[in-house]
Amino acid sequence: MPKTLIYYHRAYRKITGSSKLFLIEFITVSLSLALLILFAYPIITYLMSFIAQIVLAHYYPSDTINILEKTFLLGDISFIDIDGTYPSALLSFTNFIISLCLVVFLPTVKKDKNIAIYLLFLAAINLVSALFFTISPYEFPYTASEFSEFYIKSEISMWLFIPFILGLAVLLLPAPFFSKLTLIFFTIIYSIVFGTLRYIIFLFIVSKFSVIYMALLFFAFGPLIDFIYIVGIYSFYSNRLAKTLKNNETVWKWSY
Amino acid sequence: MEVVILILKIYFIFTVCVLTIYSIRHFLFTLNRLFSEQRIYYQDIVDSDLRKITIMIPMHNEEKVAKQILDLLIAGASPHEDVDPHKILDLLVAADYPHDKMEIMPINDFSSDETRRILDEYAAKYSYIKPVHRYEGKRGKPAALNEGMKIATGEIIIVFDADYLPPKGIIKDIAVSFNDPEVGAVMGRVVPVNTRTNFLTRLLDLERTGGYQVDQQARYNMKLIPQYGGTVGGFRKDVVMSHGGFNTRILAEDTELTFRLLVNGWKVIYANRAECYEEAPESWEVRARQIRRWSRGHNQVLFGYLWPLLRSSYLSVNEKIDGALLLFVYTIPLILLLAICDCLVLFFLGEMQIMAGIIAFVFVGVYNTFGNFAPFYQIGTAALLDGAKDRILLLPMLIFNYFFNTYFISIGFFEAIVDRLTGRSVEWIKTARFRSKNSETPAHVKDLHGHESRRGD
Repeated sequence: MPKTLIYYHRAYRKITGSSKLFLIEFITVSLSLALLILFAYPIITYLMSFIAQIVLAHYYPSDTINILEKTFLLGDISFIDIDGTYPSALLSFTNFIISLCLVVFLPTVKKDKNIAIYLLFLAAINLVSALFFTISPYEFPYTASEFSEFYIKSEISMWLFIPFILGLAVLLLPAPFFSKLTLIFFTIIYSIVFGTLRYIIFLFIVSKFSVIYMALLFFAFGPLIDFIYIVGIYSFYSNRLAKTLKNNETVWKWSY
Repeated sequence: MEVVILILKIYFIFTVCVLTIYSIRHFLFTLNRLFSEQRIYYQDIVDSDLRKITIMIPMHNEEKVAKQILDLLIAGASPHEDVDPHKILDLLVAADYPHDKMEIMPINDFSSDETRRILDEYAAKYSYIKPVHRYEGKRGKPAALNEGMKIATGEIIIVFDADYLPPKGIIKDIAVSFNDPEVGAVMGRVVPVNTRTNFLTRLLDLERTGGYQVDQQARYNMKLIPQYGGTVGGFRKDVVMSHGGFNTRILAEDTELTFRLLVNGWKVIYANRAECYEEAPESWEVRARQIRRWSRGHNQVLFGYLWPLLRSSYLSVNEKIDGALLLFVYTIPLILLLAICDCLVLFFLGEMQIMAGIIAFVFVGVYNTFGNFAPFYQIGTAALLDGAKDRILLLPMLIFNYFFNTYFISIGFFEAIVDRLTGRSVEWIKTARFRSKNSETPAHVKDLHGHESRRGD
């Protein structure tokens, strides 16, 4: 069957758009959303803490979970004040031995080496933490409340960062401006919801199980995971866009 | 202890600065590739006086793939020869490169399998196939190319790895650029042929897409430094020989050639239109060995060429900056790994508050190095330009590449340091092949021999 449409070869095709327009859109969108977050984060962090307090109240006496406030950037942040559980010597040592075995064993895995190396990363962090608690458990510099405060601060940084990183990535694409704006806004909302859920889980782990997992939680399941869903949302959007662009010959230009 | 903390904090800030520089670099590439004028390669030049070329194919135990690449090159060279009709009948279309102007030189490099017999069979049938059998001296691609160059009659050397499937027209496309007297080497685009095989090959396809469609083309557009990749490319024989041939102590002979040519005033150019299919590694273990070797070789070049690059009078400031950033590409994963260790130490020293605001940047860096050392937006843009759809959904999965690459690239980096300090010789380890001996040429490669093929999902 003869082709009804012949595309430009992929080697030198490009899309309609201009760097100037992109720059204007980028500055407008990223700064506006960043300002919105700067204005709203005291309320958002309070809501996060409030929800966390309600959920955690099912597992702890309600008078042991309080919401504290501290100044950060342009306003106050709220975070949960909760007691952490410090590991026993046996737990620290057990964690140390298991992590050490994993660190030695995982590099030798032949199949699915990518997963093995990722697990090695997790095991190495836990090994350092377990070693610390085995050698000098009383020197651990954080309480669960300080961890809680740190988590909230890094979440705010992430929300401020999303409009910039996603703005760079998405505003380049040949799609309607408002759909791109909606996507960035949606990602921030997703980050807040996901961040709240993760906040509750993190607090539950450090208070119910042990603060020995604090480092692992932050380094392996903190901002790194945030970037996975940011890229996931970007890839989903790009996938939908690619399907639309396939039948839109006006978007594509040749070489110059 | 305060001094230690200060040093750790300075390193943390240093990493953030390095990552910011690379993020800006890759963003400029992406912006350029999407919106700016694309610098077209030389393929539209018609020249009746074609240059004499030698196509070299280094082979070490390549019985699984030797026939296919030779069949494809023969089909490209002459439609009138008696080639295996079962395999390539449909490839026999118009002539590509006159075979009195070319020789195909498969270099059997210490093979112990059927490679020697296969090459001799082809040599008996086709006068312009002139195999070289090596069973003495040093093994490895650089040594094999050096030996081949001594007897090659072509003024231009075009190199393919044995697992490559060159489409019709590519020989002329690569050769024609040497009409420009400033061009010392040219690089074509590499496209994995076995993308659909498994998760790894799909991820590698994304890596390659970002690396060629945006990175290399943007560097070519911006008159920076496209990189000669050692295969699907060519170089001037006399220039390379006048500089002593390939350095057999360096594992990345391609990167070394790129920088050697640049610091001596030659240009390296990129041909995005000259696409050639390759077989990407299908197992993580093979990929681990490959990336470790690349890292070791690339860092050997870094140690040897950073200073000559910065001092070269032939290069512009922009080329020097881009060249230096390119040389450090295989060092960045280690810098990031150390930054994560640095953060971990700061964490246990009670200094995590200082990281609250800027730790995100470290993880941006992590994401920037997902895939082929390119940020997700660069790979996404490249896939979009390629006409890909479902492949883009795999972008978040590149996180597995990040940890994997970081681990093996770091090992490669330390090996390069030991190489530098001890002057030890390196052993060439060939990447394993996955094709079966009697496999057919994939349909989309045949398409490239017949007519234009547009690749999507």
